[in-house]
Amino acid sequence: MITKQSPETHQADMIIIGGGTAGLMAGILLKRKAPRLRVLVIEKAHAKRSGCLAMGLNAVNLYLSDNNVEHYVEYVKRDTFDVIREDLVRTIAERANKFVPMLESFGVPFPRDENGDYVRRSRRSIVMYGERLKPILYEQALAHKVDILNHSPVFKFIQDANGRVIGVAGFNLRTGRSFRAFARATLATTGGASGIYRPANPETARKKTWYSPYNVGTGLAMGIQAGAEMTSFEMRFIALRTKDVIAPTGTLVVGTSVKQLNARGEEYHKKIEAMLGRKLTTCERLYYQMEENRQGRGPCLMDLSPLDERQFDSMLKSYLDMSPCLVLQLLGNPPQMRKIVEVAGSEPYINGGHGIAGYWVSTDRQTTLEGLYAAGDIAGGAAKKYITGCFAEAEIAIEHFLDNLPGAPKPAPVDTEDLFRPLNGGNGLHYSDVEARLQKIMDEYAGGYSMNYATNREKLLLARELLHILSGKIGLIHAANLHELMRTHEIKDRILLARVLVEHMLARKETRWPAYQTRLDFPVRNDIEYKAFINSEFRNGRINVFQRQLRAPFKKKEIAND
Amino acid sequence: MIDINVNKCNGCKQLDEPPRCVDICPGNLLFINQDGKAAIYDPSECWDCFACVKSCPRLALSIRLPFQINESMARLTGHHVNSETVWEFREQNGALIRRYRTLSRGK
Repeated sequence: MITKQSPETHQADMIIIGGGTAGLMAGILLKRKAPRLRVLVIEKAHAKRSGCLAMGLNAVNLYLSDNNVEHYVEYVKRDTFDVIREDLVRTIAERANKFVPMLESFGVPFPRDENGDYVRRSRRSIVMYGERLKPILYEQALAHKVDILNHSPVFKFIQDANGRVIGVAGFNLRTGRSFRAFARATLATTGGASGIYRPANPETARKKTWYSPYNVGTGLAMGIQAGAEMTSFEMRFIALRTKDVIAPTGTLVVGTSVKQLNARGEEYHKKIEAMLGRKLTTCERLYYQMEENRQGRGPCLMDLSPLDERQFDSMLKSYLDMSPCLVLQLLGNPPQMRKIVEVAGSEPYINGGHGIAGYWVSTDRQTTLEGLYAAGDIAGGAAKKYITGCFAEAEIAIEHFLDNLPGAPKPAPVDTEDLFRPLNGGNGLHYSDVEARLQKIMDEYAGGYSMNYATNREKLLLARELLHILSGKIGLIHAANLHELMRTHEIKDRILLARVLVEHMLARKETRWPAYQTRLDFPVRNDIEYKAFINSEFRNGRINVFQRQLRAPFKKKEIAND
Repeated sequence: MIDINVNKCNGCKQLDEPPRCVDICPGNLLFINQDGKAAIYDPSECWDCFACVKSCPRLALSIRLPFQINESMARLTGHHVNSETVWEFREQNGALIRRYRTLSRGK
């Protein structure tokens, strides 16, 4: 049906892969600063409602009312037990606030208090009525003359003889025609990855994940294939959210009346904080919730009974802006269960917006591949970016690109033979079978949900072996149509990410982030040997893992693979 | 999971553009079947993100939770009316239980 057609060729000054929140904003910012340059956003679905904020967003979680950048850097550093790129967090915090009035000028509503200030939800968080965030950004992108290719999954970077990224190759999901796009530089904003681990909800609810199940880490896998350096995959992000529909819990905390309690009615995290003499970090809040369950004090609940009907309705309305399924769940519950919400951990994800897993980038958000930038959930090293931090990274990358405008590359021939092979070949294996196998291996041996997120060396070595075998089966997948062709490439990407993840987990022989990264054979934090980044590079079919120091020049230290 | 009211859906045949839900689904899960109605490749691939629901010009789509998560079989719809999003929560029998209006576009 398709492979016979010659590939379509696109040329732009900058290509942005991934038309999510960061990608669209990057396009808008570039056109504002350089209206004459051509920017092309390439999106596998439709940029109007794609990416992890397809449902909307009800708060901006990084808005520094006090403008205290250093305070924020310290907070993030504490939260990640010191393994953090301070330069990245600082440059994010310096710019984050300005995107709020920008969103407001685009037409995203922000409520104001009696003084005309944004309504604060917590120390660094303000309320946004962001249900239409994506459609509004999409309209703005079109109004700024950003070119957008929808329904166009990409599957590999095009590199010149020196390894410089000069474009991407992909195909059109509707017509099946392949395309190549070339540009002076490429910005990757395809987000993090879900679907690597077996999901917490099984069977008919298996895509009821916290992170978008359609964010599969393609941009990360493309970078790994091209030899880019990656950081901190072993720090998985696991969301502590409402159980079952995995909605955010921050929205529940209306004022101070809603408490998180164990089965004995104790505010257990306050007890633990008093014992430790400090606030719990984000991963510890998950870890100690699991501890309550392990000690027979579960379930852990948010008790909404102090809310009157008006407050309850106002909370439900806030969820409609971001996670409407919680409204379905609460209103669908019998009346006696309507004001009780259980909290639980999600399946693990690779995520550089909440956690620190992703591309290793410079302060300018250049990856280690010349011609390739990364911003948002795909860029590693800086946790707690949230939406404004993703915008800040996009702007930093755009500014560096404009200040150092590279020459336009010559279009080069691209080998796309692999692209369509699953349509013509394969041996009847379905992508969903391979997905289930991947998720089973990762869940059971690499610290998934059913294993309380914990693992050890021998299990990881088994995971490595089983993933190697599974990689050998990819060629057996048959794709019956273009949708399945995309899914087949996505499962291939996720297997590669899983392999890199396992190598990172093997290399960190300590437990730095309980729950996010728990080594049962090394249960204690080891600051002497592991207060450093674990990074990796894929070369000649081999994943090389090494350490980098926390500060510039981020000195490299070789380590032996297990 | 998506609930498609085939009595209301007409496959967007009145539009001079692709069917809205097929176009918008971030998982690329929807298509128009032989009867000219919206259909989903695999309901368990759905994220329940409401993108299709909000885009449907005939209000033919709604979301309900998988039975294993909630036994009510209740449905939720949302659609844009000027600067607001209007949400309707209905029981399985179609009875309207709650309607919410949320501001979703400023000036």
